Amino acid sequence: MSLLHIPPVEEATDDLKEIFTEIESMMGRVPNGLKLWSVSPRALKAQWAGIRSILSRPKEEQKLYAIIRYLASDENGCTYCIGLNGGMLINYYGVSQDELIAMRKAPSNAPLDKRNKALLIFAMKAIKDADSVSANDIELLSKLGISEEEMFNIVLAASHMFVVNTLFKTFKVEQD
Amino acid sequence: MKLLTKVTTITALALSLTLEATAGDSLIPYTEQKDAKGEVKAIYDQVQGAFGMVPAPILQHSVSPANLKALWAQFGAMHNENLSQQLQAMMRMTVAASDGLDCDYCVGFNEGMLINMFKMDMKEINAVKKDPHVATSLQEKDKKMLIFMVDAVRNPKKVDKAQVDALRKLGWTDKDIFDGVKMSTQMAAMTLLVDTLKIPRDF
Repeated sequence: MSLLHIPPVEEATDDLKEIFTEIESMMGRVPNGLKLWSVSPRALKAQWAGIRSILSRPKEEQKLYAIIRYLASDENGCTYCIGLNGGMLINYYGVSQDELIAMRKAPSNAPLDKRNKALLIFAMKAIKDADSVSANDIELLSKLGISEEEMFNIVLAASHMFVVNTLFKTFKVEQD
Repeated sequence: MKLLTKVTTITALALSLTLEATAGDSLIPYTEQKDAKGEVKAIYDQVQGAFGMVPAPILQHSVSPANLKALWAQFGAMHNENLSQQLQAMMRMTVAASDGLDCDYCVGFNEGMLINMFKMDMKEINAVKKDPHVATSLQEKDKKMLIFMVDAVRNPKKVDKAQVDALRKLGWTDKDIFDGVKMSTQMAAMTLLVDTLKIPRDF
């Protein structure tokens, strides 16, 4: 399943079992991607805390973050994450296959309202060409009523996908 | 935090010159140490205690106190005593110098650490940035881990079982290998943040 030895779920410590139970209750199963993190239990804990925080937000915001994960994974060439997040977008957020294809061509095609679309475009600009981001981008987002905290959070989320994607590509996490 | 006590003096030693960077130099202004209050101040104090300063990329996280807290928790989660501070600093510098990342802030910060704390010379530093195989100041075990961490960021799809097995033979555990790659990918992610928001040099 991976280049690393991943401890079987049944052999997990009580701490980890608790996290796995929570993941199962929220996602229906423990995806291979999250199982990989259990090689380093404290890292899994921190990663799951981040995911749980996003899953507790309003649905439109969850959808925005799922789209960012999907498109960032496409940019970073992580097949596993493209599949996982594409599946989430279709099954939980009502996005169609055609919409997925369209947004991969251009983020501006994503089925989001104006505000969230602007955040998405900003995040993708940051990971594709960070140097090109300027004060003008910040000003444009501000005019849409987007706070600096929201701007920061979206860049952070997009850049974090480099961590996730690279870990999965390096250790060859299998599709599940 | 206990995990960072070993590096308490690293930054202070590394940074012999401190520039007057201000929060307003970033595209998204952050809370400076002197203005911090409540939870943000509490975390800054912990970072200051651990590093001897609060580096600008960490200050930048104050824009989102919840993420500042999460970042500091991540530092705890990343702690691994088997990965030496010199190895980590060499990895951070080399990753940050990679094509497509080229983060001046991150390269300079870690160069400073390697020169002042670990007494490395510029010749080796410049050579390692291009090719980690020439890291002569590291033992073989650490050098192989450095090469692996950098390879994972630069070309993760090329990493194979033989490389992981070779690290195991040198005594690295699977947790060490995972933690090492996680650290190097987090460094790469941090460069995106620094470059996007134009976080100013503070050293």
